[in-house]
Amino acid sequence: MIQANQLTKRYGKHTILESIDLEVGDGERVAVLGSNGAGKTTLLKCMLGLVDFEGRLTIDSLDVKSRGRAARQRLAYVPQMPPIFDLSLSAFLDLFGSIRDVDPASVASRLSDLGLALDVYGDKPMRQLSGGMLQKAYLALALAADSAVLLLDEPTAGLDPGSRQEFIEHLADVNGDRCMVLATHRLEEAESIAERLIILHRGGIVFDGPLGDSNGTDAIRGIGGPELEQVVKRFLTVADQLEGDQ
Amino acid sequence: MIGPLVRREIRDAIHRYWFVVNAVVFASAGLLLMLFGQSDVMVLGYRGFARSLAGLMHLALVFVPLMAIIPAVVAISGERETGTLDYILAQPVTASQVFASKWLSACLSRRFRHRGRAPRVSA
Repeated sequence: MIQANQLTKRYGKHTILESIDLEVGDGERVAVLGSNGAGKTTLLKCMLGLVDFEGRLTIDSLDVKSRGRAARQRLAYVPQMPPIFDLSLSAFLDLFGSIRDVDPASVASRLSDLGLALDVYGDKPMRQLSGGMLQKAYLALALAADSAVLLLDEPTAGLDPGSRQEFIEHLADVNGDRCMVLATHRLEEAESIAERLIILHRGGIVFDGPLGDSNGTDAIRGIGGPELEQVVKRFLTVADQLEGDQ
Repeated sequence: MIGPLVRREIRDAIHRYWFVVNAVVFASAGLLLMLFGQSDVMVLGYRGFARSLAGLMHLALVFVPLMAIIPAVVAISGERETGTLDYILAQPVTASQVFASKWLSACLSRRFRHRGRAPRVSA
């Protein structure tokens, strides 16, 4: 479904992503882990065609550079910080629902499942909604869109622990046919949703394997530190040791 | 696909009232220019008209581009700063469609401002 070959992104002299080769299959759920600045958001922005990049990136065999609009039809996106439009919640959902040709009843139903009743909050301006409510609105839109891929950029950033757990449970219940790419720096989120883990560090992929892989998640879980920078370092050390033992 | 975007842009343009603000400021500046411009001549009526007209033309040279530039800057850079532009561009639309919707709405909002709501625009 998603294929990247030698994907490189530079901002001036700074290289954010360097020669990334990646393949995500249909219906696969992938968590992209990395510390702040590792390139998770940039990778998702490349998939959406929001930034220029070197190399080749295709979504469902559609080149993101030359057929960006068609490629984005296959993608539904939940941003890290939900942008606030100068619209009411209903008008926002109508606008993006009509762009994506989504049934409004389907969006309302998804929103209701997420605990946000449209008849209560629909007339409220978006700026009056909390961060959690906005995230739910964006997620409802993404879920209602008939897209093959769900791109989630740290969707629980800014949520309290209770809302975060609720949010993750909804994501875990998403139809298994849909491919999902979750950018996060929380291993517990990755474990709840994904079956495959990719760790980005300094612009490159340092680990790509199943979540149950003892070389990957167990090493990271054993540390459980809040800073992924440390987690990745520790993970690399353990991997080196294992290699040395062999 | 451009229809919903144009409707939203027109609604925003109507709410922003940039055109009204610009018109009021332009009219006020024009009146002041005429008042103070002619006070030096000590002659009112058609004999001071050429001087006032020259002043107004200079004012228009400054103001008209500003009336175009300010809403355009607000429409693009404002959306970019708040992150709304990225989210719109993450939809199955092209950048040229988004910019065309902004341009079209800037033109149409002048026409439909008095109606107080966005017109229906077919994609």
